Parts: sequence; C-alpha cells; structure tokens
Amino acid sequence: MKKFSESHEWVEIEGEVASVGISSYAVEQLGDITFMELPDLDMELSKGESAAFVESVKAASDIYTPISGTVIGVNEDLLEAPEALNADAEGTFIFKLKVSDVSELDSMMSQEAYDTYKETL
Amino acid sequence: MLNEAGGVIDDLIIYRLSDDELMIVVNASTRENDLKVLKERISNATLEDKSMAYAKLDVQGPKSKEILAKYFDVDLDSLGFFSFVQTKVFDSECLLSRTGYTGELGYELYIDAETSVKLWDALLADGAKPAGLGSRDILRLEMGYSLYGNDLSETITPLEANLGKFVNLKREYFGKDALAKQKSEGLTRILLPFKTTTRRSARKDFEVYQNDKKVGFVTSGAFSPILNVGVGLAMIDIEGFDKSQSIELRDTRSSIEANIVSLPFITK
Repeated sequence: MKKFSESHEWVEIEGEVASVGISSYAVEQLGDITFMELPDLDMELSKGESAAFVESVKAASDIYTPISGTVIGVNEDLLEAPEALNADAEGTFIFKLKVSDVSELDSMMSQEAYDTYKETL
Repeated sequence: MLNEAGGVIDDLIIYRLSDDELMIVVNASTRENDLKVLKERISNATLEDKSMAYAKLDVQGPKSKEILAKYFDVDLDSLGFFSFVQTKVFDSECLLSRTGYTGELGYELYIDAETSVKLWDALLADGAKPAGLGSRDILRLEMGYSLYGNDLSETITPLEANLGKFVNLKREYFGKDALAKQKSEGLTRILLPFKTTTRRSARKDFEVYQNDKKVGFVTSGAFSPILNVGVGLAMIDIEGFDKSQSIELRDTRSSIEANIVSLPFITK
C-alpha cells in the first residue's frame, strides 16, 4: 500500500525495505522524461534530501526521499529508458532504501488523502 | 529585419503576392513592434495589419503532401521548396506555401480562421497528428534552425548567429553598414552547434566553460529523441576558443559535458 508525499513521491514498504517512486501526477506534469540521475548504492539519505534528479522535455526536477535510509538498490533500466516512468509511474520504482525509521511514514498521505491534496493544486 | 546596430528586430518571411503587393509574416510576439518599425521605415506603400484575419496551419512530415492532395486542386509535385500558390480550400482563399521549420517535407497554409478549424478537423480525421511547440522546438533544433528570442535577438546579428551565407552586403538596408563593419573587423563571437555526451540537455542561459574559463552561453537546447543526447546552440567567444576541445555547460545545479559539432545534427 503506497504512501505519498506533498512533493509527489510515493513509498511502499516491505519489511525493512522501502521502494520509492514518483506519482502519475508528477510524471504528467513533467512530460516525456529524457534523463534520470539515480543515487549511489550505500548512500545515506535523510528524509527530504534530494535523492535523484529527473530531466524531461519541459523541466528539470529533484526527487526528494520522503523517508530516511540507506540506498540498497536503484532501477538501472531508467538510465537507458527513463520513459518507462511515463508509461507506468506508480508501477516503477526509482530506488530502494533500507529504512532507518518506519515511523516517518505516519506523516505521509494515503492514496485517498493524496487524491484530495492533488485537487488543491 | 535589423536595427541600426545590425541586431535582429524579427525573423520574418515575405511573400511577393504580385508586382506591388507583399505579405509579411512575423513572429506573433513581436508583431506590434514590427508594425511600428515598418510604419517608420516604409513611406511608398500602405501597410495593413491583417493578423487577426488569418490562421496559419503547418502540415509537416513525409505524408504531408499525400494528406493535403485530397483538399487542394493544385499539383503539389510541381510546388518547389520555398515557393507558394494562392489557391482555395473548402471554397475559401488559401495561400499554400512549401515552407516549414521542421526540416521535413511540409507546407504552411494561410487561411481565414474559420476555414482553418475546418481543415484542422479534416486533417486530423485523416490521420494527421497534432503537435505542440515542444516537439516543434526539438525538430527545428535538430536541423540547427534559429529561433527568434533565443538564437536571434536585438543584440545578436545574423553574422554572429552564423547566418552569414544569407547576408547580402551589396544591397542597402537598415543595419547593413553595421554588418559590413562587423564583417571587416572580424566577429568576436559566433553561434556554434553542440552535442552533449549523455542524455542530459542544456537549456537557454546555461553558461559555457572550456578549461574552467567562461567562454559563452547556451541560446537553445533540447533532448534529441533520435540521437539520444542533448543538442543545442551556444554563443561562443572566439578568442582563445578551441573547437576541438570539449566544453562544459553549467547552471547552478549541474555541469554537462559537450562537444562542438557541425550541422546538420541529423543526416537523412
């Protein structure tokens, strides 16, 4: 079950491991994605820190990790084919973290809350 | 159309409709100033702003001739590049021009607003795809075509924009003296095409560095889906610049490696 941040990232936890991606809304705003920069493995990230970078036809944007942890995996397919995010943003992870503080998810939005939030934008 | 310093007031196209009638097509964003300048400079003709009466449709791509043939009673095969006919479509006047900004086979059509909507709907029903400015910008940039406001402006001369082959210094016109002087003194800067070495793209106003020294700025940049790298144009200071060495395109956040190349970016 996904949780969302105000800056349009999503997190899905399985045990100690969190997958992080960006929402369909974010991808729609960006347009065709042309380039992605992914975090390094073993990188320690704090909640809110810039973890990845995305360039699209329209814009360039940082992707912030919504929770703290250590990077244990990245989606390398996105380096050659970043357009996969346009095809299926919410089914495509960008990086995986070993979570340091699960309670950080408590302040994130559920799908429902995120849908409501989007309407205010 | 140039100012007295040789800078570009607008990048426009002129159709000679008859011995004594010209149609001048300008950039929408500079229309008011263009009209003001034309009024100041032209005394032996009447000038009418008909902008609001016309719409312009660009139909571009390998199938453009095929798809338009259905609607025009014109032999499109004999319409050469950069020529036009005054004809009709759906019983309304239409200027059909074999011109374009994409580097593809294509046509630009000048029609009254109402008929243009009818033609748009008809062409889409026939399979034409609507394209936005983002895609148009990539197409023209892949051809190395200049965009007014980016690669051309009031402070950039056609010589600096590397369009010298289109500059005729034998005729008299506003700005010609400044260009002749610039040519004889030698240019201090010039617009050069570049390709990045990764999928990253630089954008307008990125700074250009070589050996850690600032040598210019990017005027246009985009990702080329055909080449899978960034392409663009940059205004480079000539003194001390080495075309064969790589450059760095920098903004506050990133530094992108690139190389100066020659046009065209893409060969057919």
